[in-house]
Amino acid sequence: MAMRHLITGQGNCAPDGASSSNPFGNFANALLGQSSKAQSIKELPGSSVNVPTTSELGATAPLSTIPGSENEFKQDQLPLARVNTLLHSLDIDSNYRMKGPLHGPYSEMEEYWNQSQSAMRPAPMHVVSDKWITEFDKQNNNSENWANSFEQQYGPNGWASEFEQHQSQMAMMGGANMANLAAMEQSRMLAQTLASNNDPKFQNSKFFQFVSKMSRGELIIEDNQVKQGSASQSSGWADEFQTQYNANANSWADQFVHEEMSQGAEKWANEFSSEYNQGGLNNNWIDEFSKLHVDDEWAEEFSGGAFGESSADPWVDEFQNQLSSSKQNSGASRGVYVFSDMNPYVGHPNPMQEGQELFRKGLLSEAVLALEAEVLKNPDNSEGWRLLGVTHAENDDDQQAIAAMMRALEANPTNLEVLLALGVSHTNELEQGEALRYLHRWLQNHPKYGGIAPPQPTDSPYGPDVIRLFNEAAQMSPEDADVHIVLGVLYNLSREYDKAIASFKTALQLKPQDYSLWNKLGATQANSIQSADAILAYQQALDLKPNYVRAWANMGISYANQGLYEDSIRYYVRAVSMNPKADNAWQYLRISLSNASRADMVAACDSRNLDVLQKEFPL
Amino acid sequence: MDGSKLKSAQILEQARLHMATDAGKELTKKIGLVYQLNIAPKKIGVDEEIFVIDLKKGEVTKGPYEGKPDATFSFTDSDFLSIVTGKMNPQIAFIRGAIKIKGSINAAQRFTPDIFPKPSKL
Repeated sequence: MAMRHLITGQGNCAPDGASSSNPFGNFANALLGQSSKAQSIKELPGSSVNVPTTSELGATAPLSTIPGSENEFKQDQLPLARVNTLLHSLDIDSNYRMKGPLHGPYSEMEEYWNQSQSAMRPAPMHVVSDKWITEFDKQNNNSENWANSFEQQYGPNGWASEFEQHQSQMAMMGGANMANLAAMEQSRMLAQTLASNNDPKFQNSKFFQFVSKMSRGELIIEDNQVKQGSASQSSGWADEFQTQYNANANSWADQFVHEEMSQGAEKWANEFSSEYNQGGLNNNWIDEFSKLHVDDEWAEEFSGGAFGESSADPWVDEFQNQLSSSKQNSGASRGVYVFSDMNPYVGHPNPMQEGQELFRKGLLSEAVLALEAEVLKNPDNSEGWRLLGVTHAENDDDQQAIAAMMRALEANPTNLEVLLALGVSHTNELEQGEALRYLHRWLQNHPKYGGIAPPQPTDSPYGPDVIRLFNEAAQMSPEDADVHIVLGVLYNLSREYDKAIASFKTALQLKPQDYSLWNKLGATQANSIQSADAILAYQQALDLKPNYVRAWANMGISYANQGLYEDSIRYYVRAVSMNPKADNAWQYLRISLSNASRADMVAACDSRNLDVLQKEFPL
Repeated sequence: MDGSKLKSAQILEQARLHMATDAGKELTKKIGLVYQLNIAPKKIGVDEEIFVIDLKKGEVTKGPYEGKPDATFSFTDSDFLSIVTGKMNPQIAFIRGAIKIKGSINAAQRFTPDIFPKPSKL
């Protein structure tokens, strides 16, 4: 507490010295081991002090008109007194002092000093021995006054003018030699130089050197018996000292108390304690961190992910998901089917029938398991693989769909449904070349239109050529919905969305109950920024097949692309609750959650907590 | 975007159309920055195709930006897709070296998946 008191006490030096309420002052006094009162100087070694009266000084200060700042003076007085006590305690040999200044970094000043020394040399040196102290003490004992009176006379900044005044006085007196005058002039310049130096470093660190030199200068002038001049001259010195001191000791102390302590330590302490008191230093830190990037989603994710409570795991999870999914990606893109780990349908007597039944009921994820059991049992069952592929497509997993369809194609290389499905899924995966190749093969393998297409297989059919061939086929049999469907997919590949929409609409007139066709129309409309129309088409699909995960997910996309994130969330949640493995939907859900400022639910999304999400976003 | 073999080109074509929608116009208001994308088929810096997403004007164009984009990204086709579809966090992509960024990091951080419309599945 004492330290704190020291720190937080009044900043200003109190006028009454030892009884100062300024803790810093007390502290300094305690260190010096004496009060700043002039009387205590008596006890100093080598000093024989006699205490002059105030009037004495008054007598030496006949000039009396320039008003000074009392307050300023009072602040100046304490440090001055303290400097004096310090000087006494140093017990500096006066002879040495007479000979030269301490060697400090002020070569300039020393030079001036030496000059003034030589100028003043004629005066006897040791006569003065104790006298200077007395004189000094006189002034000090007048501490209430001597500086004050000077200031009253000359004002706080009056020393320079006083100096000049004094110079001219001396010149008029005619007693002063030119060298003396020159020295004083130089001293004045020096004083000015020093006074103008506001560098706190200089003022602080060289403080005592400066003070001792100043004091000695004062004394020397006294020694030289420059009577009137001495008083005023020393006052000049003193004032210069004060000027320095204003910027120096006084303000040094002030500064120290104010800046170092209050701004520094105290503030620091306060800050620390307040921060600490807010509890959870960690939380604070996180707050600040996220404040730094307020509108920055990445940072949000980052802070939420990496630093938030209990969210380090999701971050790691995400990273691992990323790694595993990329692994899976590469597997799937190579057409490797990834089986479920735990499959209750393995060992089922008739998994194919079970799978078909589940598919018909719209229990797609269950159907996947049953059909997986079937193809594990009968790896060459093309229909099993095909239905598995279809189920995955409806479940919004094109990569698994592609893998399954490729196995189906192995078993039955000319299955048109499989070829079309592969064309569609590769289109969804933005794999244009693959898609085009399968759709081309569809035409080649078609019993009716195979004659149109050149029989030799091409690895990279040219899109417009394929489209041209299909248009021929459509002319041949305009009532064949499948041709229009393939055309619609082809136009999606070439991004001729209007033509694609027309093709799907034509097909729908022929097959209005085909929910996947409604979805294709919707998706095409959505991709050509007709999201509102798309939603109507998806609705048709869902009316026909309520558990059509792909349509639910597409619904979410259409709402999200329109900026209706809140709505999109509900559809995504529906999609993922029907197929928890629908990674795309999970990713889109996450994006919509952050866009809808529902960062609170991102964790639930990351941990794939369906209960929380379904409760929060009922459809 | 025509004639590009990149999957990203399809997303960017969609983004181009998307700029005309209300949601797209919202982006120009919200972000108002210009991004240049250098997209490589396989390896960053090799056979790059350059696209510009100008969210000041609301345009998506092919070819380098005339002037100084707020941020320039270099990534591969598939990494770009992963980022756009939310598969990969851009921050993580950057940490892993899957994205190279030039220009304002502040601008780069506002390059998020929601700039791009999501492709719907047939």
